[in-house]
Amino acid sequence: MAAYKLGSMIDCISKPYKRMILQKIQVRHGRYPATFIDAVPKKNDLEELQKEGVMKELAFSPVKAAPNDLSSSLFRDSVINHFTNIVMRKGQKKLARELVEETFVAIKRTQLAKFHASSAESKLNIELSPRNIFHRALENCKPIIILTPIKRGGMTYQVPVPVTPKQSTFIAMKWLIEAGKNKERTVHFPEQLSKEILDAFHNQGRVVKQKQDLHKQCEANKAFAHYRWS
Amino acid sequence: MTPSVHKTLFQLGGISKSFEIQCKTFQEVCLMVRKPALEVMEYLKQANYDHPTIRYILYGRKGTGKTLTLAHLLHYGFNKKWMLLHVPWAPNWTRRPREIAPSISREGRIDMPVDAAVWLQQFKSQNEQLLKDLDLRAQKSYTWSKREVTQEGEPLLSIADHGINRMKHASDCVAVILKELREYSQKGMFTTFVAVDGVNCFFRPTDVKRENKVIVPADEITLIRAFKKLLKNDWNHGAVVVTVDEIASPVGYRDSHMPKYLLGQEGFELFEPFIPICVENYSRKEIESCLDYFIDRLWIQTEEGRTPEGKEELIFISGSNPYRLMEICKSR
Repeated sequence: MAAYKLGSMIDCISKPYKRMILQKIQVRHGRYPATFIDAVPKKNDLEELQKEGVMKELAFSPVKAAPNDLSSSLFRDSVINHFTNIVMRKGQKKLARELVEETFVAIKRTQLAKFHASSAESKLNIELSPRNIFHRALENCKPIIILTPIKRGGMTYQVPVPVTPKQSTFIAMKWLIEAGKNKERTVHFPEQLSKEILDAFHNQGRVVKQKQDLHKQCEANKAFAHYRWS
Repeated sequence: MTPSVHKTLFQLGGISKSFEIQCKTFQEVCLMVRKPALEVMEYLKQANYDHPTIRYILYGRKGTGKTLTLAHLLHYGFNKKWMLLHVPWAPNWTRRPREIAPSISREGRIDMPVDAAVWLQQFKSQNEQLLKDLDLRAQKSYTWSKREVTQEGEPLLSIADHGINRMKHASDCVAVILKELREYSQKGMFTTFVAVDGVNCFFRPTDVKRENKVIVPADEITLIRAFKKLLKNDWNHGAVVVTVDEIASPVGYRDSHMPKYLLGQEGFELFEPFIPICVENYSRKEIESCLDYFIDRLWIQTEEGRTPEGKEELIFISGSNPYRLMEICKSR
């Protein structure tokens, strides 16, 4: 209850102070009690919940306040939304969204140019949808095992450790964005990022190589794996 | 529009950059045939060219399609073999002239050598065939400097070439060509089609400054002065189609998109009487046809975008505004 009241007070405070205060809030106590459910904006999802028969219980649950970037738009993709949030710096959501949209436009244009220039047979093999390309590229970039530093006996070992799906997604997105930023001064971020995504889609390029290098390192450090539990 | 015609007419301006990029992606230059363009074409067909020139003003809110309607009409004039005098985006002269020089022939006036030379190149490109067929000659001799003279009877193309080669005299060459064409057109040899995009900037303060940081009024710029003479209705065998745009005005003069406000008193008195033609947002039929075109060109790639509900959403978010629809469909 106290956490809920504090949460609503924080909403009234301006951004710089809000950041300072939120850094001090205990992470384990969220602002909402457990009974609150997430907002479900899309009609299709609501219909599916109806079919599953879950609606009876959800209909009487209180709903959390919908975040600003949640909309009932048919074109909203939660993965792309997550990606936009990671691209964002200094709270400039509008700029982040524009950059990601420009990236997808660049991907579309490259693929369409390739499509029109190719023969009728190879046209069937060219993927044109930037969203499908992004999803596949992300899958190709996700590591399944990563190294964490673990201190044993005064030495810090790089120990291979399994990674949760959420973590893996985040790491893949972060790598893609860093690769997009690693560019010449005159090249724009969306342009570079679109090239990286297309490379990752074809299982080539910097980011996939980074993932493969990490997997190789994990394989090399197999001997330290037991440090996870000792 | 075939690529060769597109290059001839619009290589040096006339269609917005974003639309050009879209045409490149779609592998074709296609304009939608809309009511305002058809209306003006009807009037142009029915007009009596022995009477003084009729002025048509295209007006509308931002992004409704005024420039592309003008481009369509320019294409129409090109097919009818009219003389095209086209200023692709007039504020380029009042806001970002590439170079300013004091005029040689008239004291106090300002010349824009590079912009004038670029216009002459565009004029040549758009009217080359027509000029060769008609073989127009200068009716007077023009002395550019002590050693450079264009004699009476030399072809007008040579004046254009002289302006392109000697940029110092380019603005004066433009003024001379416009004057000569006006006189020829009055004799009834051909019809002249004058098209200016964003004409309202001719009647507002410019961003052009002299060396002493004093702002130059539009009337003292040779190029603008020469074109203003063509916008009047004291000549015949011509048609003047012009757009007035909020964006063409300087920042403090953008309260309304209506012609009377944007032209100001001076502009309105010059243009009165004119035929105003409103360019509006897409109608239901137009926007559905536009979305179908995007789907056909493989531009709308999301599956949701191709469903009726998706199309409804796109129509709603864009507000049926052509420009907004283009921007939104980029990322769908």
